[in-house]
Formats: sequence, C-alpha cells, structure tokens
Amino acid sequence: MIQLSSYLFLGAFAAYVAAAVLYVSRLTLRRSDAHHFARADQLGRHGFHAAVLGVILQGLAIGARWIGSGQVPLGNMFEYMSFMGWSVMFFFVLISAWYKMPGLGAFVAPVGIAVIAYASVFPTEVQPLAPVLRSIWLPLHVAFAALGEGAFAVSFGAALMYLLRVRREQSGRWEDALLEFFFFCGAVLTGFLVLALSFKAAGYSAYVTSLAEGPAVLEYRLPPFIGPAGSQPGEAAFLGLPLPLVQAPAWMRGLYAARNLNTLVLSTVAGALLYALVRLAANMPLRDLGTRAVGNMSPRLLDEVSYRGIAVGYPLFTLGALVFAMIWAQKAWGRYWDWDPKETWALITWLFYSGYLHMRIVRGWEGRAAAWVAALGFVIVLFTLVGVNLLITGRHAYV
Amino acid sequence: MDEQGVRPDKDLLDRTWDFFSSVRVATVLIFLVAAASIAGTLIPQEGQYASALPPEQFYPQEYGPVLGALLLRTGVTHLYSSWWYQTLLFLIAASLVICSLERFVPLWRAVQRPNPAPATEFVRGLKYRFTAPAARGDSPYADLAAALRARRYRVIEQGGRLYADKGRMGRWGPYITHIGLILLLVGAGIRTLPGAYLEEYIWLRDGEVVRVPGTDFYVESLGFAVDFGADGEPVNYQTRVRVLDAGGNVVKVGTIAVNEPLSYDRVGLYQSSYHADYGRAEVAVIDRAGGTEVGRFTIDLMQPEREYVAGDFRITVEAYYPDLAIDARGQPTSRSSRPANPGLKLAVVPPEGEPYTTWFLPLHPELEFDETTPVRFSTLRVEPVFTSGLQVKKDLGIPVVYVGLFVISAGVFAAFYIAHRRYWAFTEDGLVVVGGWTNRNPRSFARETAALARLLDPGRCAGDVEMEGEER
Repeated sequence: MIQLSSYLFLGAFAAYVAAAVLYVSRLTLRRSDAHHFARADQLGRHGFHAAVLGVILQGLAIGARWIGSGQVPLGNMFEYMSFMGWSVMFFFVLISAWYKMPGLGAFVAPVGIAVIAYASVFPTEVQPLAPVLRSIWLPLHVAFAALGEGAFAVSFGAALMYLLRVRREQSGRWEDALLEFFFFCGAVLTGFLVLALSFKAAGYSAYVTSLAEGPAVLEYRLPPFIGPAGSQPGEAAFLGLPLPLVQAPAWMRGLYAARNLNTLVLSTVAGALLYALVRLAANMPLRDLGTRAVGNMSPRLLDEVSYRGIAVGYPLFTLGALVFAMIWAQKAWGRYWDWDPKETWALITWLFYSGYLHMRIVRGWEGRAAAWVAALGFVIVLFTLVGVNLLITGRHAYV
Repeated sequence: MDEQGVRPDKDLLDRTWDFFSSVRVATVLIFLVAAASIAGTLIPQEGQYASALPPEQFYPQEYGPVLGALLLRTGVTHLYSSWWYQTLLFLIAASLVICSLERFVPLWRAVQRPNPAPATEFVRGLKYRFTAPAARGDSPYADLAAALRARRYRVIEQGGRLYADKGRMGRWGPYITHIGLILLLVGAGIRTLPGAYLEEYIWLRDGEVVRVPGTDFYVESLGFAVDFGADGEPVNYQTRVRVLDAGGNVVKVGTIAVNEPLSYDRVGLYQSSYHADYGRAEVAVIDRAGGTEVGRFTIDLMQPEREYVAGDFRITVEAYYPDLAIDARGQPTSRSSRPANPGLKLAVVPPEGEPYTTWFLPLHPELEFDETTPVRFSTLRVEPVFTSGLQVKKDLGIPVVYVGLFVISAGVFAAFYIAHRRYWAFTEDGLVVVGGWTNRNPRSFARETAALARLLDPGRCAGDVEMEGEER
C-alpha cells in the first residue's frame, strides 16, 4: 500500500509538472501571436485536466498511505508539506474553475510544485507518531491549517499577477525592485530544490567534525563547502575537491548553523545562475517577463481572485492553525497558549491576513498596498513552516 | 468609515472614541502587534532559553553588554508580558469594542429592519437587474415571491413593493468574530484574578500519595503503564490515579493519559513525562556448597524492610545505600536517594552456625566481598517502578476562552462563507423590475439572478455573457 502510494504520488507530481508546462506554454503561445489563441486555449484546457488528474492521484496517494501505515499521514515534514502542496493545487483547481482563469495556472501551479518538491527533500519513510501526536486533533489542526495555507498560495499567485499587471501605470522604483527580488527568491528556492533533490537522488552524504557545540559529527546532504567550527579541510570531497573549503564565521552559533549557511550559499549560487540564465535568455528583467505573461488580464478580476483565495483560506486557517491548535494544546499540556515560536508565527500570519482584510475596507489601501500584503502573507506562511524550523527551536518540534 | 475631520468642539472622549472607531487605526494596530510579536520569536524569551544563567547575565553574555541591557530594559526579554505589548493588546481590545459598538446600530437597521420600498431609482441603479412580466393574480409578485421562497429567501411584500433577502448572518460575521476575540482576551485575563490560576508539576511514583500543590487534595498512583511500539519508542503512556480529599476519602478514580487529562475541582492533571527506577528485586538464597536454592525474598529497592525471612535464614538489613559509592575517606555513602546502584549491608542468621555480616548489590550479585559464606544471593529479576510526571494546571478562564474560540470560528465562517443577498422589486407598465445586491461572491449571485430571470420569463434569451478572466 505504501509502495502504491508512492507510485500515485509520483504520478501526481508528473501531472502537476505537465499542468505547469502546459499553462506556461499556453501563455507563451498567446503572447507570441494572436493567431494561436485557439491552439493556446486548448493547451490551457489540457493544463486544467492535468491539474485535476494530479489532485485526484495525490488524493488517492494520501488515502493509500493512510491505509497502509494505519496512521494519519500528517505526522512529519514530508507528509505535511505534500498535503499542503495538494491543498495548493486543490484550491487552484477550484478557483480557476470558478473564475475560468487559466492564466492563473502559470503562476500558481509552480508554487504547488515547489511545495511538493520541498516535501520530497525530507525522508519519505513512514515514521511512528510520538504519543502526543496520537490524537484526533492532529488531522483537525494540521489539515485545516494546510488547507488555509493552500488557499493563501492561490491568493499569492493572483496578487503577484495583479502587481505585475498594474506596475507599468502605478509602481515606483522600490516596488519594481521588490518584484524583481521576488523572482530572484523564486530562483534561489528553485536552485535549492534542484540541488537538494539531485544530491538526495544520488545518495550523497558527507560527515564533518563539528566543535560548534561540543564535539560532534555533522552529516551534510549537500557538499560541505562551508564547514562548522573545528572541521578540517579534506574531511569530505566532491568531484575530487577536498572539502570543506572554509569554516563558518565564529559568531554563528548552534550545531546546524554552518550546515544551514552552506545550504543557503549553495542555493543562492545555483539560484543566481538560474536567474542569470533566464534573464539572458529573455533579454529583459524577469518582472518585465512577468508583466508580458500577465498581458492585459483584468486587474479588477486578479484583485478579486487574490481576495477570494484569502476569503476562502482565512476561516480554514483560523480554525486549523489557531482554534484547533489551542484546544489541542490545552488537552495535551494544559496550556492553550504558550508563546512558542511556531504558534506565535501562526498568530503573526493570522494577524497579517487580518490586517489585509481590514485594508480592503480602508479607502486608498485596498489596491496595490493590499496586494503587497497578500503576496508577503504567503512569504510569512513559508517562513512559519520552514524558517522557524531552521532558525528557531521551540516546543513544536514535530514539523 | 474613516476618521471624519475632528471638529474643535469635540471633547477628549469624543476624539478618543473617533480614534478607536477608525478601521485605519485598527489596521495599523493589527500590523503593530504582528511586528512586535516577531521580535519575541527572534529573541529567546525568559524561561525559554537553554541556559541556567539568570536573565541579567544571560542576555548581556549573548548579545553584548549594550544590546543585552537594552533588551532587558525594554522588556523584549519577556515581550508578551511587557507593559507595552499588553498596552497594544489593550488598544486592540478597545478598537474591537468601539468599532463594533459604532457600527452595530446602523448595521442592525440595514440588515434586520430593511426598507422594502426604496426609491425606484435605487433599484434601477443596482448592478444585478432583470425584468419579468407581472403575475396575473392578486399580487404581481406572486411568481417572483414563490421562486425566491423556493431559494430560501425571506420575502416581504409591503406597500406594493417586494423585498427579499437571505444570508443575513453573513453581515454579522465580522461582529461575531470581534465578540469572540473580546471573549478570548477576557478569558485570558481571568488568570490574573487571585485564585484563578495555578501551574505546578508533581512527580508521582507507583503507589505513592502526593498532595497536589496549591490545592487541598491528594493524588495516589495506582500504577503507571507505558506501551512500546515495534521500534521500541513509546506509543502511549498513562497513570491510573485516585484523588483523595483532605479527609482521605476517595473522591475520584481515573486514568491520566497523553492528550487525556483528568480534572478534579477545576484543576487539571496532565500526563507530561515519566522515568523508570529499579523497584522490587526478587532474590534467591543459594547454598554455596550444593548450589540449591534454600529460600527467596523480595526487596523493595525504594524502601527495604528491616528484616527478611528466606527459608530457614533470617536476614536483617543493617544499612541501605540506594546509590552506593565510596566517599573520600573510603566509607560507603549514597550519592542520591534514587536507587541507581543499590547496596545493602546484611546481617544473616543461618539455621545452624554463626551469624555473620555481608554486602549484597542487587544489580551486581556477582560482586562478592566474601566468598566463604555458606550461602550466596542471586537476583532473579528486578521489576521497574515508574515515576509519572504530571503537569498540574488550573485556569478558570478556560471556559470563557473555549466559548470565545467557538464564537470566533462561527464568526469567520459566517463572514466569509455566507453571502447576504437581497432583491428589491417594483412594478411598472405590467412588468416587475427586480434589482439585486450582494456583499460577496458576485459571480454566483449573477448566475442566480440570471436563473431567476429565465425562470420568470422563459421566452427571453440567455442572460449576460459570463465575464472571462482574459482578453479574447
């Protein structure tokens, strides 16, 4: 059953990639020549079908994993992130059906793929649940939070499209720079995913001595160009190059600080290369490429879709990330709120989107300003899920 | 509703009221709380950092003397209980209350006491409109009213006009959410009242009776149990307990498991952790010459008896060291009171022959100081004794918090998942003119309006072309 689940999962991933490719080619074709509209729209329809197929396959994969392992498949980072990726694609399919807006696919489907690819960086084996996780509140808390976050991802895509759409008329230099930075971050994220998944597939692993927090041996899944304090050159190697080349600066504390820095630097290098390649190939800044891709889609409609994603996601997120989380914490520990970093970041996310909802009814703040908040909101969601785990330790140690 | 220009004759109270009733101010406050909360996750908070140093030493060491002192002075080291964060929360609460009060009456009038007969120009100006032939019977609106009722609209016919609406709750959603948030803040504040809050931790060994600190009752462990999975990791653990009141009467019996607390007198006991110690050791007395067992006895390593009888042997415990070690002067001593390395000095009276004194280490029976004694001791097995760690928690604000959470959930779902849809209609030249309005999900409302139009006037061609997301 677990084996079946991983085949279904692979199939779903392939379907998502096909959907993204179809959606992007649809836009490329449309923008190149008005004669190809009919052909392009056909591609868009196929893209939608592929996305629907992916959602169904991944739904089956999750079900098979649940049956096969006998426990709710939401207990570790792989299971959580892949469920969230499913939720992104599910809400994309839903909202793109409501609004008949295939253009959205070129921006949202890659987000869903990135989330699922990130999930695959983690060990995919079934792990037994810790006692505290054996509760009905696990699926309630986790599933609702992830569903809300999936809807926020759709809102993020639409907000980005809105900002790209209106930037020629309205945006200043800073906003243009920030938009370009969004694309650069996307390239870095892609760089990280490509590196992490390639080295995982190759089975690469290197062990380096660490004296950062007492003597220890640190395992690297990427070539350790930057080693922790106490590591010696030549402890590991990559393509005949003795590694690590340098040690992490002394002010970086923590056992994993050097490894995280190594990952960040490698990802940034790979991302910068990718960014430079695309930019050279397109011969324009990526924000211009994005603006061309958005074309003359209705800004009002893009704004509405972005709002709709948050309107659908906000109640789900409130219920999952705050209400159910608090009830569960009360049941498990006797304290519904502890200012643990993870739960505080869930609150920050919630406050951020609450701020967005209030901005929409304040004159002068409802357009571009609100769209920026919607776009940054998903960055906060990602930081809550990824950044908090890497940078801050807390009680929420499971995922 | 933004700030109206503050007139000079307004007094301070009015101005304060206007300030807090502004959505602009509320939005800024929300973002301020979010930004402040971020700081508290980046700076480890007092009680959360992994160091034994007191805050006055920890922060200067970690962040340097200047920044460390600044963090301590500004209260960032206990941000969420600092006066300025609490002030921000208070300002948010004030904004919640005043915004809700300010808009309650106008919204009540608009939603619950609608005007069924606005100016016909208003109806004509609505975005979703259609006309249909008037019904022939008593009321020109009969067909429309029936169609709307079938769609669960509340229909009012009055003064020759028709008004219908549904989903009123959707308009109240934001206010319900705000009421829930106020309840949540009130519930969280209740713990500051005397006697409303208690947080303690107790360790409870199997069979032990412990007074729950801060209360006048006791818990007695009836035994701790832990289940292990195939991989050796604990799957679940739980403690059977009895609760005894001050007079020693049993008032409650139950099980405390992970995620399943037990509560008595509004104090919750939560299964938090456990550790195992060596408990009862079953010891065989073996005749050194013949190798046969001549008797056995059981020692409670937590608290050995004064004397044991095994077969015809009488064994007296002269000294007990739960965690045996040799001190600097070469004398036996115990490092702790936990039986980590128990050692007993025993006086043995055999059925025949001289009494003698010997040492016995139940975990290491092979270590013998004197191998000339007539019998040796052999440990058959040692049963573990568990000590269960229980979190003791009382918070009288919890019911209010739960009600708040429920109200918040109901409010957000009403606000975003229920649309308030309304139609007004008037007659003109044998035609019914209908205009519609909705507060959310306009596309679905447009479809409903088109369906109504087709139903009431089947002859008409299909309604407006659906708007597409992209240029054609």
